[in-house]
Amino acid sequence: MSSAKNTTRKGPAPFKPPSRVSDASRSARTSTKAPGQGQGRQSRDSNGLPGFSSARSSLAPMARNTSLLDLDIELDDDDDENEETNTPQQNTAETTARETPTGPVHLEGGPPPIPLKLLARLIYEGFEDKNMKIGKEALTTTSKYIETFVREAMARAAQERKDSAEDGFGGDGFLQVEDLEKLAPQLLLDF
Amino acid sequence: MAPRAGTDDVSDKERLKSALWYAIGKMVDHEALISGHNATPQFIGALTEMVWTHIENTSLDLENFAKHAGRSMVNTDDVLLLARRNEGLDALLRSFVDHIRAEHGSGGGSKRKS
Repeated sequence: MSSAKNTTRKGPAPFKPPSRVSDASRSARTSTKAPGQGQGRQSRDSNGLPGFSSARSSLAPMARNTSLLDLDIELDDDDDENEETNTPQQNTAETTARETPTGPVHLEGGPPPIPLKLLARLIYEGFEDKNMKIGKEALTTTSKYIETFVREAMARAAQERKDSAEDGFGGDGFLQVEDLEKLAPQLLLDF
Repeated sequence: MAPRAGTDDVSDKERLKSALWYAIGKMVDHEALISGHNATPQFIGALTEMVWTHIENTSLDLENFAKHAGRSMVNTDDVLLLARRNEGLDALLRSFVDHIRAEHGSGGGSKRKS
């Protein structure tokens, strides 16, 4: 990680731990699942990386949404819309699929990816040499890399939340910034 | 918020970050549905900051990898090099690359074979 060389990094961008959000303000998003649901498939690792192996095993069989692969970079931004295809039915199926990582489980539609155009723009912003280019396949792979990063963060945050809930701190199932703060150092070392 | 020509640098960045925020939010919502958790907006914001910074770092890494190889074009090998310290991630990305190459037929050639 070349953070020492990163001259474009803006000043300190610390996490601002907010106070806990009340249930009332978030009721719209709680409706889908009861808090604490999914605790049944706890597969806690004792190797100091909680959630990593379980998350990876769920990532591995995840076939990439093929529609993304057919996209040309100049394709429009509308590809965010394919997330609408997830019905609750599929989601419960995916939940059980995560319990048994054996065998390739084909999941219809992975998470909505970061639009390739956006990612390309962000990467080009980061280049110091304005003549530097990035290949399409490389861009797609980078997209997968970032997607894995996000999903890994989510998986570890869920694990952190579970641990906190077991210790008696807030069991409302909402992932908090504090969870992210706890996992960030190890996550960044791993990526 | 109307973008004005004068403040391009700042507003461009802000808008890019907003776009990233939106994309990350969608991913988080999707994952949250699967795992039975929800995420606070603050969580999504903090995650966005993290991803933003990570993309900046990634971008510099890729540029330097390509330069080191004497290229002015980042290719897939450079991206795979990102995961050099994490075997699982490396395997994941390699299988992903194999997968898209298989789908695209002769797509990228066989430059990755090693």
